[in-house]
Parts: sequence; C-alpha cells; structure tokens
Amino acid sequence: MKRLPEKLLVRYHDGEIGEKDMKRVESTIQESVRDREFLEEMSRIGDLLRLMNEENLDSVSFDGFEQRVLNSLDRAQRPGFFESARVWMSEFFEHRKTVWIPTASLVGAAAAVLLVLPLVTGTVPPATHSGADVSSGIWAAAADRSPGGSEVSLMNRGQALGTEYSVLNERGEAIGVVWIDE
Amino acid sequence: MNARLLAAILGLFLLLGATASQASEKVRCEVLTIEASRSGQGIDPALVQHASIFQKAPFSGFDTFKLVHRQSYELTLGAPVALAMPQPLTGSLQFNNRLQGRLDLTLSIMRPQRSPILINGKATPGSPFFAAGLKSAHGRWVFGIICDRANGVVHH
Repeated sequence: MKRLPEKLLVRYHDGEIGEKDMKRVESTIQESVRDREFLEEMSRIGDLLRLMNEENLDSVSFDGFEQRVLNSLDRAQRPGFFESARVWMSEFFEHRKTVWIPTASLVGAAAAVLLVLPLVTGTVPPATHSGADVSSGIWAAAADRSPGGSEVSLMNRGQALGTEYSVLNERGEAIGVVWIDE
Repeated sequence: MNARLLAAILGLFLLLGATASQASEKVRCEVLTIEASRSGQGIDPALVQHASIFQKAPFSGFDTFKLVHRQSYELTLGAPVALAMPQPLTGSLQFNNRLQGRLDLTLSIMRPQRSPILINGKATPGSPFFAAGLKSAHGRWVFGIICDRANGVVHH
C-alpha cells in the first residue's frame, strides 16, 4: 500500500495543510497502519517536548530577577579603579591648582635641598670624633660611615719632592704625614 | 597663574637658602708649628697627645719636638686663609670640601726662590695631618693641622 509523504504527515500533525490534503490524509490513515503509527509517534514526541518545557518553566524563579538585571547593568556601566582615579586626578589637577602647585613646588624644593645639592656639591654632613657632641642623627650617621684618621698627598710632585706616610696614633687611627725633601 | 608664580618664587628662595648655607659652611682649624730636632729635650708636654706619632717614621730620627706656635683659624668653604709661619716661610690653608665625613683641605707652603709646596689633606674632624721636613734653625719644621666644626671644639 502506498504511504503518505512524511512531510505531509508532519504538516497534518501541525495543522498546517489545506482542506483537500486533510481529507486525503484522513482517508489514507484509515487504511495505512504505518502512517497512523507515524502520526501517533509524532504526537508522543510533541507531548514529551511540551512536558519538558513545562517542567523547565516550573523550576525557573523570577525572584530578584529585576534586581539582578539592574546590578548587571550597573556593573557593566560602572568605571574601573584606574578610570575613576584618572578622572579624579584630572579633576583635581584642573580645578585645584591653588593646592597642588604650591605643594608640588615645596616638595620639589625640599627634595632638591635634601638630595640633589649634597650630590652636586659632593658634601655630606661632617663626622664627629670621640668626645665631640653629636647634635643630630645625620651627624652621627656620617660619623659611623667614616673611620677616624687622615691622609695626605703632595699635590705638585713635579715641583716639590716628598714622601707620604701613614702613621698609627694611640687610637689606632691612620694619620697622614708628608715629609718634604729639602 | 598667581599660584604658580608664588610657588616658583618660594622654591627659588628655598634653593638659594640651601646654597647659601652650603657656601657659608665653616670649619675651625688649629695649626701647630713644631720644631723637631736631636737636642735630647723630649716631647713638649703640649704635644703629648701626638707622642705615639712622633715615635714612628718619619719622625723617629728626632728626639725633641717643641711646640713653637699654635693658632686657630676659622675657614670658610673655598676661601684660603693666610697662616702665621716661621720666617721665611709663608703659607695658607683652604677648606675645599666635606666628603664622606672627612674634611678636605689644601695646605700651601711658600719658600723663597723655591717652588711652593701644595699638600692635600683629608681628615675626619679632630684628626690631625702633618706636613714636615722643611729645614729649621735646629732641625726640621713639623706643621700639624687639626680641624673640626666651626662651632665645635678641636680635640687633641
């Protein structure tokens, strides 16, 4: 027996065929067991799909849904830390010039005084020796860096002859002596 | 604009002040004029703190160390000061720098018809350095230089 096309049976099942085709299908399935079985199978599959969708919907909770959406939007639109800092600094430097310019100048000047000038001049606060008062921590630090004693050198050896000595004193410090040859 | 100008002026004053304080840095130096000889008179009691030095080379060939003159000078950074020296010598002392806790000085000794003698001494405050060997009436001159902070005390 000739079977109906599956496509036609599907459209029949979904109610998407015209009256003429509907009569044709209905008259055929009276006699065609396999076409009937195909339609029944389609109905079962449709029922299962409908049941699954209903179960999924039952398990969905819409509590706080609106708030979650708003939170997501808020997070997406909120600027990051660096962006916030950039904007804040931009506003600060633009509108608070009377604050930051004098402050920066003072800090720069202080840095120059404390760091740059000693390097340029090659000087550091002097050391103290035993018995001298230590008036500040800086002086004490300088004293710690440099052992006591002295050294000498003849600067114009081409014009004057001399010999340099290093003699230990009673404290064990090396004392510089230059002996000029005459 | 006013704030910038004010800040610039303030910074300039600070820098100038710091530079001025560096330039006006002072040390006090004491110059000992000592005559070393072989006259058997020992070490002058005023020089006893240097006795251990005078017992070693290049002083070990002398048995007499007499303090002839002692004078203090206040030195400003970079400005040479004339020293009182035995005739016919003349001399000057200059404070050059303070580096790593050591005072850097230049001692200049002029001799008639001879080349000057230029000596660089680097000493921690209170430690002496010596220039010696020039002929004296009875032996050799020894010049000891001891420097310290201008407001400090020179220790011997």
